[in-house]
Amino acid sequence: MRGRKQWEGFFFILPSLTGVLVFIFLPFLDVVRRSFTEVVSGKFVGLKNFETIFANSAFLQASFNTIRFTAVCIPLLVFLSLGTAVLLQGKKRTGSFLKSMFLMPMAIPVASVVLLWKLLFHPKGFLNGFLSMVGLAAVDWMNSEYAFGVLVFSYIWKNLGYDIILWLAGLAAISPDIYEAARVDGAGEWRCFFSITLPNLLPSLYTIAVLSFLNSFKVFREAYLVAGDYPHSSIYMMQHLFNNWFRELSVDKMAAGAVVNAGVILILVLLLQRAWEKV
Amino acid sequence: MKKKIAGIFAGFLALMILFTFLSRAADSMTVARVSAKKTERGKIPHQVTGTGKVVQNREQAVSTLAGQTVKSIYVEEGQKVSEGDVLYEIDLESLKEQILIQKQEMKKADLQSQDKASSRDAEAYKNDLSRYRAAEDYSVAAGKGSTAVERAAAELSRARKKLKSLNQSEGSDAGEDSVEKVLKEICEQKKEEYEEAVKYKEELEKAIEEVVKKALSEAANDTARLVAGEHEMHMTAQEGLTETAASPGTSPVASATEEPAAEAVPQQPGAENLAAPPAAETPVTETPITEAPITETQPQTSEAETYASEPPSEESTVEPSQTEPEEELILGGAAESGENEAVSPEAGTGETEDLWLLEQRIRIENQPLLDEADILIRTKEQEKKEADAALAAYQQEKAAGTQMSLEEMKEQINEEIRAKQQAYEDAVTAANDSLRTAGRAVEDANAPQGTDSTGEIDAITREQEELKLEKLERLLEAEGKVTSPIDASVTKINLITGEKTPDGTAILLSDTEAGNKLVVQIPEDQEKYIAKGDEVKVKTNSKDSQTLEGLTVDNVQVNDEDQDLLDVTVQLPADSLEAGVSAVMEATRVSDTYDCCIPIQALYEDSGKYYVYVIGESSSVLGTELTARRVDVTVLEKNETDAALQTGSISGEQQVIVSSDKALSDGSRVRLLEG
Amino acid sequence: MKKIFQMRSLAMLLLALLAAVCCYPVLFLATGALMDSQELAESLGPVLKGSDGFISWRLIPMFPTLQNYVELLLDSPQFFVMFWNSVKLTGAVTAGQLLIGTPAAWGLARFDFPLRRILYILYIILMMMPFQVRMLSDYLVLEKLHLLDSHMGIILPAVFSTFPVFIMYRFFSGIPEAVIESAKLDGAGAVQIFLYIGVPLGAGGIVSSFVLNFFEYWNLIEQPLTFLKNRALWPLSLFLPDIGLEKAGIAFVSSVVTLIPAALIFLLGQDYLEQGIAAAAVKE
Repeated sequence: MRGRKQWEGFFFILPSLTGVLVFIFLPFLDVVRRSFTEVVSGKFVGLKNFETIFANSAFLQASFNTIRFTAVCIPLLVFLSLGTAVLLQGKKRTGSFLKSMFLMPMAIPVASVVLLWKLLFHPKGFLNGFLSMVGLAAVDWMNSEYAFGVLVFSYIWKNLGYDIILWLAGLAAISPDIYEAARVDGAGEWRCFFSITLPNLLPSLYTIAVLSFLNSFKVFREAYLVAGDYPHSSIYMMQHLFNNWFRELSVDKMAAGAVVNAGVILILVLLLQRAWEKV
Repeated sequence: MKKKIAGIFAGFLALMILFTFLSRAADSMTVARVSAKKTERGKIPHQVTGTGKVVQNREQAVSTLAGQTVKSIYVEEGQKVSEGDVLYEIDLESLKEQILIQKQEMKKADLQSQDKASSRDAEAYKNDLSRYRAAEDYSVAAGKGSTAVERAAAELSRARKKLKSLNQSEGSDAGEDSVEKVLKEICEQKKEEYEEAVKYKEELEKAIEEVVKKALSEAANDTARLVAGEHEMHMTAQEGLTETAASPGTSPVASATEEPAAEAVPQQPGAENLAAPPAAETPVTETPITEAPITETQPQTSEAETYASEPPSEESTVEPSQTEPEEELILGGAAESGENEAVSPEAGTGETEDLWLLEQRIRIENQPLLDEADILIRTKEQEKKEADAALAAYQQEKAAGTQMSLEEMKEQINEEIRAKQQAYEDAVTAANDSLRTAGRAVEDANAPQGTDSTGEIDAITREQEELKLEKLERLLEAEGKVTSPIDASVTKINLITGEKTPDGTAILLSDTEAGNKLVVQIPEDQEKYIAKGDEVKVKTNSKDSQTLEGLTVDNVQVNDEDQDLLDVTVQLPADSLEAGVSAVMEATRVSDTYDCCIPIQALYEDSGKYYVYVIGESSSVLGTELTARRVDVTVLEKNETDAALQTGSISGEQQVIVSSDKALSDGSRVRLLEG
Repeated sequence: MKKIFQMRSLAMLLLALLAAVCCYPVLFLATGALMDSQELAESLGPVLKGSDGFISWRLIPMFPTLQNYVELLLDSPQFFVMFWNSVKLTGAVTAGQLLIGTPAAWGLARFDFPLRRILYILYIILMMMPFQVRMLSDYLVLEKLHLLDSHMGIILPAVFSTFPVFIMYRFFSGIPEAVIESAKLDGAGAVQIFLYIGVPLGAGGIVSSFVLNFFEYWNLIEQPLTFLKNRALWPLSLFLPDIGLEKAGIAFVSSVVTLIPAALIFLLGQDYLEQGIAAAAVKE
């Protein structure tokens, strides 16, 4: 049945595909080509551009920050949202209300909260006011290592709702019959959670982890709006680096950087894909 | 619920649209609406306008001497008269009477001035006489004083020399011998000089005889050439004599003068001795003034002169008191002997009376020379005697042994010197006193007298009187009728029939042919825009206003009363506007062509700096907006409506804001209204 | 059981607190926007003027006023330029995505043709790429098409984003095959089936795609920052951070006004939002 009308479907996808090819895919192939050539002459230079960016301290800093951020944020976010999701599960009225509240940060434009962030993390802001109230020393949040913590906080604030929804979806997919049967067998709350819920949520975990990883790139917005083009080095993200390269029109570095980024992400996506198929 | 939220969403968007319009509307109210214009090439005309009155171009006053009786007036104000028309008439009776009085007055004045002149002459004669006498007195006093002083000086110097020679003789062992030797030498020298003088006189007599002889023979040959010849001979003889006289007379004297003078000066204790020569010289220098009137005293003075130069040469110790009277005797003797000598040839050779007369005249003329020679001989003789006497006295002293000790002698001589010194000083003082008195008398006589210009004043007064008389007579000739000198209209009459004519203008006429002129006042700062020769327009203010074009400015000058105003004079053509009419003058001065002209409203001034606003573009969030951009400019010229700017600051493409409904500042947004 | 119940209620309280923290910014902006300039200056004194102490904040303004709203809404035409820029960009992008993405998702979901699998994987991979990877390629294309510094330069690459296709794909896949078969039997063509069966039945997916993308593009920062040099073209998300704290009143009101559409869309499409997010998590 499907095979018969195969080419009709192709017409449906054609406008989109054309656009994707013209605006995204082919230019990206050009970028890949450029990553192996010199900017001015267009001569093939092999891996020289990659050597350059891997020798670039800013690139290394940005890569390190990204990895660190990912390593800290994603487990934190995943487990926090999972816990929240489990607690919310089954609560009909309060559950949906709280869910809406957790989702709210997604809707709040970054630009709107920048004002709050500035006042919150200012050396004389709310947070330091609070600290001084409990007898702690004030901290220059945006110009020290604490800036990283600020960024983690804003990331979790923004994506908690999103991940909760993802977990709830995963939880909803688990058949209530399994819990019924377990309870009949005399399993307790914790037992049920560890024996039934977690194993069943495993496929979702990969998805959530990858989506959280992808969303982690968007934390640049907060970092940029609060701290500008050259923030504290602990929150100097990949996008900062690319923006600065773009300003200098360092096409070769950008090309190599883009290819490296794409490669890393591709590997992760393929992992997700395999995990998906396995389940 | 969902529908409600959707409704709210739609409402929100609608509200935002509304506010968008509202805020734009509010914003546009703050935007200045301007109109702009590109700069233009053009000229800057300057209009100068002034109001003034038409006045007569040329006025002529007619007048007669004041005080005449007006008999009748033939014209009235405003009447036109032509040249020669009778204006008014003077009463002839009173005129004649005036002429008579005038003549009598003049005669009286003449007589008075004559009297004054004669009394002035008498006064002048008196003054001259006293002046002459004072001068005479002065020169006499000077002569006497100098003679006395010179004598005193001579005695003093002799006494000093005596002391000096004594000191010299005392100095050496052979002193006495040397003194004797010197004295002998002097005696010999004097003897030689005496002989020379005698010889000189003989030569002189011989020469005179020769001249006489020659003259006589020539006179016999040619009596016609008598006068000329005689004159010539006289001249040559005189010349020859002076030449020969010069060598024996002056040379020894000069040499003798130098030596002792040089020695005497350092020895003397200064001031007193130095005072002597000036005191003796002062009257000498003044003599030239007195010389001219006092011919009689000349020989005496010259005698004194020769003597004044002589005293230093005298070395003998002869007492001056003895020499003084002696000299006078010699003088008298010389004159007598000279006469005798002159008479003798006259007796011997006298053939004809004429010849005798001639001879006599030559002799008389040459007599002074002979006299001089005689005086010289006598002087030398005297000197010789003195020298001999001195030598004898010395030898006598020597022979008698040193009767007086040297010290005593010195003492005696010093005493003598002191007495002489005293005498000399007294003489100087006396001479100065008498000179001062005489000098004052001269000064008094010469004292200026107040200028007396009465004579000249009288002359001037007389001239004026004559002029007046002339005028009166001319008026009489015209039978008392005064006529118009030009074609004119009568502007003003200052006469009343039967009354006397006034001091100033009797009748004022304005020249009809020369036309009228308009004088208007303009502010002084407009001076640069109007000048003589400019073309102007003149309009009258009256209802039936007429306009005169193509007139030219005749004159521009500062108003007499107000320094801030200028008077502009415009000549009006004949018969155009009547005097007294007020009119407006308009003059337009067009500048050079400027490349960059803008309306004056576009020009702003801020603390002396000029600037304009041009339309600029700036991109903002609201898109590309027009803004007013301030550009500083240099104003080359401007008037009430336009201004010319220096090119460079504004390009021809730029739009200059000409008007705005709001105050502008640099960068303020504007909205450009087309047209 | 009682113990567990107590623990649960404690956890719920904690959650409520956490939720409050999440929502606090909205409250904060709302109160700040109502304060007059005097009160704002007093509250923010330490930050603005460097005076001693820390900034303080009242949850309820002492002197509530609409002064800031009036100032922003009536005296700031610039704000509206930005606002409409944001509306234009978000509207055009989401509309374009639906117009292009819906058929593509339908095609991918309901037809079997060669390369379908490869295209699907390609779409997923491209969806995953963050902006930093696409930055240079976007720039190269836009430069070639002379779309730099224009709204179209932002809109076009966003329209061909593969993310909405992915979301809608999940929904279209969920439509039972039987419904389409019956339509076919009634003689409906492929286009008719898509329009009259696919779109209505997949509406949930379309709406969730719209909601998710609305938030994404209402928040757009990286692309306009990179490609729009002309400030007149900037969206609100770039304009807001530019308002200095010295104009705190304006900043608060602007933030609130920016928040309002997002909040309304959130309220309107919350269910679809959840569905859309969940779509990614659930297996095909």
